[in-house]
Amino acid sequence: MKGADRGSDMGRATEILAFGGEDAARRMETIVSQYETALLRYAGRILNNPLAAQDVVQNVFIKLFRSLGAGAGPIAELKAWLYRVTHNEAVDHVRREARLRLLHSKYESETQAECRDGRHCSATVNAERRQLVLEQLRRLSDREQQIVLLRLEEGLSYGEIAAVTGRTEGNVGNILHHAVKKLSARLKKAEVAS
Amino acid sequence: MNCDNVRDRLTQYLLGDLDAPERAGIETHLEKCEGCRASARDLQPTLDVLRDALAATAPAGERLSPAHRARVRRASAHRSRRVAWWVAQGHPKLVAAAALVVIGAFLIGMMLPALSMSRGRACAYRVPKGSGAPAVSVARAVRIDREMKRQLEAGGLGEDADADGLGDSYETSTEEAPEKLRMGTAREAAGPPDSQGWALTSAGRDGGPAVRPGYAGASEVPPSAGPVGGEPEQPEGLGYGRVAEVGKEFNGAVSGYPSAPDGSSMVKKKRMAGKMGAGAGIERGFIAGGVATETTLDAEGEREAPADGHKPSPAPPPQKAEPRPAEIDSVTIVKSPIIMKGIYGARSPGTRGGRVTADYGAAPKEEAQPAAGPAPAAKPAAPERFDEAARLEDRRKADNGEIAEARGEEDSRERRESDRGAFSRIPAAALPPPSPERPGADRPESGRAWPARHQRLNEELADLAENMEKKEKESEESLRRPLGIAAAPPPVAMAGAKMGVGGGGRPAEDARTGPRFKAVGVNPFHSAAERPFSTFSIDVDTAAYTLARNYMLRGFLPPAEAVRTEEFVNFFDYAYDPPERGLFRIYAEWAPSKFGRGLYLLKIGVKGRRLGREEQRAAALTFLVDTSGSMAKPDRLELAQRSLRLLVERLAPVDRVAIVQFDSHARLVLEHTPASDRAKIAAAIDGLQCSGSTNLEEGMRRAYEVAAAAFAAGGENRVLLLSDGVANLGTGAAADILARVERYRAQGVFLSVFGLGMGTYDDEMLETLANKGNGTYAFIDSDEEARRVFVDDLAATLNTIAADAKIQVEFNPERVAQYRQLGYENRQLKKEDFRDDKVDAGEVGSGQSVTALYEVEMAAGGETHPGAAGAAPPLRGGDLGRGETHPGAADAAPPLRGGNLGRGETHPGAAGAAPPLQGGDFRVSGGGDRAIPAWQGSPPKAGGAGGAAPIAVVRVRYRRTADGAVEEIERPVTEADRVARFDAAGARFRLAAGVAEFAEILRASPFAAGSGFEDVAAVLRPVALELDMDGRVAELLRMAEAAGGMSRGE
Repeated sequence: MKGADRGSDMGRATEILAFGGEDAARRMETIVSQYETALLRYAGRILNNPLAAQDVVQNVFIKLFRSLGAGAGPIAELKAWLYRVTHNEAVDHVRREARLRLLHSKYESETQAECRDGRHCSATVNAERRQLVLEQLRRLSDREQQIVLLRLEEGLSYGEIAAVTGRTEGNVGNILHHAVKKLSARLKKAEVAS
Repeated sequence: MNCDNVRDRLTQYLLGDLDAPERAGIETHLEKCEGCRASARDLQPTLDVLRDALAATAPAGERLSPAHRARVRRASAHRSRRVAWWVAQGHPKLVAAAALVVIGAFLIGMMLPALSMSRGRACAYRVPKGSGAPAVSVARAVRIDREMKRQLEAGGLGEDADADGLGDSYETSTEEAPEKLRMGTAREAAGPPDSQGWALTSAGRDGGPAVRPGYAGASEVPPSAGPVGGEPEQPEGLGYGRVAEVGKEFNGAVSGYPSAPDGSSMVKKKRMAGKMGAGAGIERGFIAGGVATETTLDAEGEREAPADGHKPSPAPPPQKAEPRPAEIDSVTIVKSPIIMKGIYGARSPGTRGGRVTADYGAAPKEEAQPAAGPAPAAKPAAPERFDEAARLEDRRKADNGEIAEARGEEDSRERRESDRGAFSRIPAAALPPPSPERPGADRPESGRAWPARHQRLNEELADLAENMEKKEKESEESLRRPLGIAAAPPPVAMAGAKMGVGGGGRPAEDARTGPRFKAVGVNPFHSAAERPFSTFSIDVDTAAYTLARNYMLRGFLPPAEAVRTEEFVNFFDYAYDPPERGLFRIYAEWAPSKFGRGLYLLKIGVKGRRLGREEQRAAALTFLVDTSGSMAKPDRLELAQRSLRLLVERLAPVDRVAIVQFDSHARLVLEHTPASDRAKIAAAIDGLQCSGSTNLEEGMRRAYEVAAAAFAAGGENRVLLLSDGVANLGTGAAADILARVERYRAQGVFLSVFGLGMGTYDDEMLETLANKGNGTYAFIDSDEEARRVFVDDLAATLNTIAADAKIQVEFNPERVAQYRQLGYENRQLKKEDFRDDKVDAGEVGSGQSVTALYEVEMAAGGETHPGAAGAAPPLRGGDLGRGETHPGAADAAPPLRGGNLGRGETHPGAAGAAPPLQGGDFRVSGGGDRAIPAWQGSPPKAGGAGGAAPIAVVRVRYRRTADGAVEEIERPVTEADRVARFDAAGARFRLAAGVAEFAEILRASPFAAGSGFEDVAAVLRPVALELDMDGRVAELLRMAEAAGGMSRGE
């Protein structure tokens, strides 16, 4: 299955979660280092703002370590838990910071691909297309967007996505398919229009 | 399978998520069904475009900023600091609300005892003067049950109270009453109340009721009312007993409600009470007021007697104690402190009752304390009274109204006296186990032992504490036990590999854990007399610095094994001037070391010539790109792709590029294409996708095949490996790969290795590959670094000017006692290898420079030759290159040309006789088989005759790539290269010193034990100011400054 390499982390998700003394710090660093990039990317997608993503992912880790430190027991499927909590945190963050959406869009426009030396400026055309696609992706419903991101960008398996979203695998597959179909139709319309 | 089924699964099919049977089924269907094929055709580009958009716009290599990381670290260290989490969340409102709630609760909690105390501290009130009954003020009031009161009121006051009836009621009530009383007073220690009851009764009779009802004309309580004998749980204490009895009576009476006779009995009581005089006021009070005294003891043992306000009795309403629930009318039954003590005496000190008790007790104690003399006497005296023998006397006294007199006044002092007096009358048995500290019994004033009961409690508390400790320990242990599945398996150790710090904690995608670095140890000091030669191969790799920087940007110190001093030092530019003639130029500078105590730091630089454009050879580059699953992160494959694009842009049109990708298998993505065909190359770069495992063996094989097939004679043939180093290699496969690399190197196809990404990163393997392949090894963690490697250093990367380059430094034992090389631990060569041209050593690219550092301890007497030092203008600022005082040195000994130099050959091309050695011959005696040439071309001593001998000679030997000839050059290090003070040395010298020390500290070198990051930063600050154009120096300074606060990560 594609994305299996990324997803293979799942097997190691229920890893050392003992908390005490020196080990705690090191294991914390381990977990953080292992997941921070993916979670930052995922949160960045939802928030469309990497700076806010930093805050969100930080809080996710804080939550994780507090709950573990308080003896909440092992977190099975750490990866799913992390994605789920990240998603919730990000969504909450978006709701709370609605006024920052203006800044988000500003940032977005600033991260358009640069065109160096005038060469490879086919990149600009590509960049526009990509922005269009991402725009359409954001127009999907929350759940659809989440599943699409988890499958296509994060590379989680259906089982993992099911764990993250709390749905069955079949359901996840259906949602994914319909989302892609929807996107396909919209993109076609958009391209036809432009 | 029908179309609907198929169409619903098209996305999964296109993504390859279906398992084989399903996929096969769909494929069969698609073959037949055009409609579904069309749907698939519609979906596929969407998927492609989606993935492309996601991949292209993903931020690369994102990590939590150090600030965020620090917060996470703090949060995990202190588990219970919830406030911090909220603060970190930035929700001041939540924090404020929580704070308000906490403060409010705190205040309320503080007020509660105050409230109850004030309630409890019933005010005394007097019997109206006319009553003739002196008041007995007590500190406690009895709360009258509302229900009771209602019943009493309803019961009304009959008119047919008569003594008998009263007595009857009294008598008949005794059965029910005890229940109530028992309930209310169950906590009280039992004690024979008789005497007290009598005493009080009699007291009351005499005109001073122990319990003061405030009703005039209280009748005397019939004697029968007093000792209602036999109740086992009758509370002790005089007044209370009285009250209790009365209460019982009334309770009993009330319980008879609503029968009229009870009411009549009440009336009787009333009359009786009236007859009895003030002393019986309480009954009257009860009767008249219909007040039932149910001694309700609440949890804290407080008693309240709501004042009776509505009684039709002539008795003036007693002074109300505040605060009182309005709905309860009551009379404040002033109780003697004795009563309270009696009631509460059984309690352990420290309870509410105890505290109240203490208040009382404190009063007499206060009285006693000023009179220090009598006080100690009084206290021990007090217990003495508590014996049976004294009781009679007490009674007598009480009969005589002494108590009453004492309690006539209102002010607290008198109360206290009366309290004391009353207290003194408590018979021993009535009280709790007598403790001498009864007054103020909440604390053992004089250190006497706690009474037995207290001790028991203490023991219980201690047991409890012990249990809690045990439980805590258990819980701690259980927490420490792994909560989840066991830790990731310990890393598989490759032959000779050691793990980095904390490497075991990080799980790997490929079943290997943690970054792998090989620890190489630290060069020790060598005696110049015993071991004058220091030989090492040139190394211009810089990966260690980039790797360490990566760690530090994330807020961690790098693993000590990952730090290589020479790579740190060589990362920076020392602005050596390129040689005007020849291929290399040697620079040397030495000054007192800032970090070594009494040591000198010798900096040797070798600068290679930069090939002109026309001299650069056509490159035939084969990119070998790791496209395994582990490369799928944005800071890996995508960074590789961007790096490649950068590189390709800079190539000359004649250069050729091929791309081989490898994951589980190797695949030629692009055959050798001229760099002018950018579109095709770019398309191939963009088309790289990740999946599968890392089959480095096959990749290397394929790449070398391709490179060999497109071999450019006389050109630069190179395989460039871009990988994150995670290779599933068995030791056999590793050896095969290395052998292959060597084989091809011999034929002129070199290997350069570029490491990508962090984490599961096999540094050792990659470095070994590069070494074997005569290639450089750089670590690319960012676009900036990619630019530096592929753009700025491209010429160096791709154009080697010399291969198998070695350096040998020969120290003069007369001047040098000991020396230590900083770095190059795994580049050391034997001194014989220097002239052995088969030994593989490093390669130097066009324009590259190599810097090596030594810490030198001068021999005694070999240190300072002021004369020599003064002759040459001290080097100040600027670059050593320009200030070199031996302008002719390099030229005086022109690079050796032609053929291989045999051992000990002198310069055949030198002009005849070698210039005589100045400043003393420099030969090592007893060198064995090693014939050391006399100094060749040593420059005339600028200092004139008698100048000091050089401290060392530096030789560089290499094979020129242009013609394969081997050359050797050398240069002595003399006083002229010396700078008197460290701070007077050039900025780049100090930079090298700082960087080296930084690396030494990071790798926990024992020689750097005395220095700290702050020392390094202090050295680097002025350097950064001087070299402000070089962003790397500023970055290094920042790292050094921040390093103090970092801990080692994995």
